[in-house]
Amino acid sequence: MSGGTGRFVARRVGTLAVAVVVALGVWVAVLEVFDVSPLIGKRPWDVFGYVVTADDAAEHRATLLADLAVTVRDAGIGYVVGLAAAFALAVVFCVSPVLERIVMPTAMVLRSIPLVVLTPLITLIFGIGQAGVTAIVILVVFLPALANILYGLRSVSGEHRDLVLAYGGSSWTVLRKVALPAAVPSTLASARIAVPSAVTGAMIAEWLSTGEGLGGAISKAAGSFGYDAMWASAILVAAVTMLAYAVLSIVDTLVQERIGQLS
Amino acid sequence: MSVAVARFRGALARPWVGGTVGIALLLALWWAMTAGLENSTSFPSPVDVARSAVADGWGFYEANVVPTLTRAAQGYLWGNLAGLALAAVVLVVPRLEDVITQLGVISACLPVTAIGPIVMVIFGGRASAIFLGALLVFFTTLVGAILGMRSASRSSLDLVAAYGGGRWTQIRKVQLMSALPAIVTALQVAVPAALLGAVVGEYLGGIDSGIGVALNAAQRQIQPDRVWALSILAGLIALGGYALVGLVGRVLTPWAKEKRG
Repeated sequence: MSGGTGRFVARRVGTLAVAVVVALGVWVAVLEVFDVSPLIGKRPWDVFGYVVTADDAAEHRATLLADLAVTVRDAGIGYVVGLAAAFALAVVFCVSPVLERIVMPTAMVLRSIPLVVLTPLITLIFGIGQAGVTAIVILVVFLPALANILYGLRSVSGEHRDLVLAYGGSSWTVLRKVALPAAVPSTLASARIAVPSAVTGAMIAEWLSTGEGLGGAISKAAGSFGYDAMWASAILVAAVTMLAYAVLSIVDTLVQERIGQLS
Repeated sequence: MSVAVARFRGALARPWVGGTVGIALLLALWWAMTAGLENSTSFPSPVDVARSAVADGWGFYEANVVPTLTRAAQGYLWGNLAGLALAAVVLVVPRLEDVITQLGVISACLPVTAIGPIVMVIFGGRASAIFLGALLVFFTTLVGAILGMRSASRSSLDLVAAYGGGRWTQIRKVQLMSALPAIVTALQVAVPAALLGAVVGEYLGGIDSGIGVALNAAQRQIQPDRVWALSILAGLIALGGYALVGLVGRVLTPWAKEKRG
């Protein structure tokens, strides 16, 4: 069993490595094809140099990591709260479909307002600071997760439901014994999909409102021609997001295998 | 009495009625929250917003909405083409699926705010709005198309093979047919995404008109009424596009009806 798991993880990591190499190739190729000046379009080795081999590389690393910590905090708080709220509300909707009919279309309207447009509105309401950033991240994470988890809760087969009801269980028992286990895959998928959106939300909020973290650092660097710092920040945030996504997707597959074996 | 309540609940369960009630409640809540704040600089009432929209007039909105829509449409086109092209590669060479999906994931992990300034510096403002729209569209369309192809039932594929059909017939008769509904859904989701990309691109600057530019200006000139009116308009456009693509898709893929329910 553990041998199979190890091999599976190794294959995933291998695929990721191949894709990263291809992505690096595309990065270099685009800059070469469009003949972008090396002053502006930094190559992978420039970024490597900035972070590792330059004279003041340690200083660069310290700045980047400090900004990264802020962004991870910004994205993390909203991510956890948003997912938890989505799960709770999905359970409520599962019990009361009428409430869903009232709230969901409104939520859809809110969701289709572009995030950049929404950010100033939320900043106007919550002010500049952690509350505003968290509100934006929650908003990005919450709705897709809600729709997904609700779909999972609803995927209960009629027979399973009838069985519980026939043995005298209440709709609460149906939820606990049948619907919640059925929603595990979609909940895990939501947790995975929400990672890039949470980071994007946090970055947009930092850019437009607080000016902190990697989002703030990138816009500051772009404004002051600090192209090395700009590229390094962008690559760092993309790499961390990818790592978190990869870890969650491996956990996702392993848990689903486990459930498949149990049932 | 209870009959009336039951009927009321039944009516609410219909999507249109429930949705209208929800939006009416949201408007009422908005009104109630802003009733206490007279002439607030941040949180205008719905009436103020409507009044500002009328005062600005169609000319103002047309001048900003049309360029944004053009950019969003170009981003939508290129992003979807790229996503569908790579999905087609997977269809022909299934072994590449893992790597191509992983590439899509990487593209989704590039935050627009990180890529935007870089693209902006390299290609200029106009191109960056289009590029960002395309980037945001690419992943959902790629994954939607691949998932759709995979949802082709094994037995249908075997049936074609049993009757002597080749790989090409399998692709044409089974996998494309089952992928189209999923592609339609992906194209729907792509509408708000392309708009978001275009507006972010405009926000970065280097362009003289567009929803993003107008929003940025309205914020700097502290015109909250206009900020809100533009925001709501952008949301309505996204929602309208989403509904339109869904409608067209439903007409083009009638066999998907029973799946959607």
